[in-house]
This record gives sequence, structure tokens and C-alpha cells, in this order.
Amino acid sequence: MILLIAGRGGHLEQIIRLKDKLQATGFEKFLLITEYGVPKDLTNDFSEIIYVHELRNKFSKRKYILSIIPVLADHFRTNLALHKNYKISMMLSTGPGLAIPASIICRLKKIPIVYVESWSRFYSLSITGKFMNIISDLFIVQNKSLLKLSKKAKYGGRL
Amino acid sequence: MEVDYKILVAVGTTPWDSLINYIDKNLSNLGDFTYQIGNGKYTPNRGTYFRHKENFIDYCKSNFDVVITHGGAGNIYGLLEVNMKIIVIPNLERVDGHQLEIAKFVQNEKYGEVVYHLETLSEAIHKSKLGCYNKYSKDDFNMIREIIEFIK
Repeated sequence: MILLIAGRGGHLEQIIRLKDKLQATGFEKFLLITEYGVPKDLTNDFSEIIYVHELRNKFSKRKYILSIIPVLADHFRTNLALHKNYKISMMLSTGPGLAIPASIICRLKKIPIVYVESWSRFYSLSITGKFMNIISDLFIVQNKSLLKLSKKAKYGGRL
Repeated sequence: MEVDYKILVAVGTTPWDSLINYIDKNLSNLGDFTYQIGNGKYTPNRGTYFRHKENFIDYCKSNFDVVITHGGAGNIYGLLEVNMKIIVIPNLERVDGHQLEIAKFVQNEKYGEVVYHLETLSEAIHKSKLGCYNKYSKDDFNMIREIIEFIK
């Protein structure tokens, strides 16, 4: 089972494109942790879809600080439950922050972690990207201009 | 003449009421406007609007001369891939500033117009009518094999 982790909007769009490419090579079993917005015609592509709250409020720093601990606890709980119910062979994420607690659990369980930095990043890594640059086994960027920011990064072209 | 220039304003999945409001109140004479307002609260008084649309890129290509878009990469790449004229306005009301990076990319590579202050939007619309932009060509993702090697 491949564990896919992606937030909403562009992050989800990118993980779906990755999932499609993996399906084309024969992989069929996917779990998805996301915020919302999976198109109805795609829900059958996943063994299970788990919806979580976003880690970071994009419009208010204050709301973010107040809610972070219970939201993080929920993320850890969700991830641990998935590992209990499924044999996970790899974690693949396009961010954003919900990849962080998931990757901590995967690292502790020695499960390979692959991270693809967002297609909207050209000149700086995201906060999640900086963390995943350290913890991931494979760190892929979609813009060559990011290669100079990470010794580990590999250029993968655009999803 | 002006009313024939078909313009779509697209804000993506996060609301941007102040943009819709500004264009609706100040620029509606510059073209025939349609608005994609997402989950926004403000609804425009001039021009038509909708919240979301499937097959969005094809819809844009078939119906508009130019798309004024927030800095969402999915929108921008999708529109550039079908050679749509774009005017990018990064949404700076967000806490994260990363819409700026793709705006700079579009500007540096001359793929379209970029607006950082709403006061310059009318000028960008005029420029887009005559504008000639570089053609975007996608370098496809090619690391699936490497990813598969990591699967236990």
C-alpha cells in the first residue's frame, strides 16, 4: 500500500498526477490523507481516503497558533491508525504541512519517504520542503532553480 | 470595441473578494467580464460569475481572450499549456507568500503580464490585447522509475 499525503488545491492536483503515473506502471493500492476536494470520479482509486484539518491557516497566524496542538495530535492519531490497519510500503507526498507528522511516523517505522516539492516553488523551499529535505529518502524538485538550495534534491521535471 | 474583449477573472479555490470587488467597481468598462469566485462572499454586479467549473482550462480556451488569474500554479501552467493569454496577480492577502515566486517566473520568462498592485491592472489589460508572449513548453515529470525503486 502506498501512502499518499497531500493538502488541497495544487498539492492534491499534483499527488493525483503522481498516482496516475504510478497506476500506469501497475501499482493499484493507494491510501490518501488530504484536506478535502477529491473529485468524485477518483474516489474509487483509493483503498481509503482520510480527511484531516490543514496544519496551517493560510490567512491568520493567530488562528494557527491556537489550534496547532490539537490538530497535530489528530494528525499523529490518524497516521498511527493507518499503519495499524495497513502494510504501508512507501510514503509519497507533495506537501504541505500535513506531510510532516506523517513523515515522522514513517521514519520511526523505517518506511521510505519520497517528497516532491511544489511546482510553484522556484526560488525558495517551502517550510515543509525544508523539513522534508532532511527526513526524506528521495527529495524531488520541479524547477531547476531549486537545485542549488539542496544537495539532496533531484530535478524531476513538471507534474 | 472594448466590450468584445472577453476576460475571465479566476481566483481558484481560496476566496479573494477584494480583487473581484475592485475589478467590478473600477474596470468593468474594459471588457466583457466573467468571474470565477470560488468560495468568496462578494458577488459582482456587472458581468456573470460562477464558483467552480469542471474542465476549467478547456472552458477558458474556448470562451475567453485573456484570463486574469491568481498566482495558483495549477491554473497558470494549465492556461500556458493551451497558449492562453494570462495576467497573473499574486494574492498577497495569504499568510504564505509563495504566489510571488510563480508570478516572478511568469514575468522573467515573459509568459504573460504580471500585476503586483491593482492600480496597474488596467494597463496590464491594455497591454495583453497587443501583447506577444513567449510560448511555454512543459518539461514532463520523469522520476517515476526512481520513485518505484524506493517501494519496499
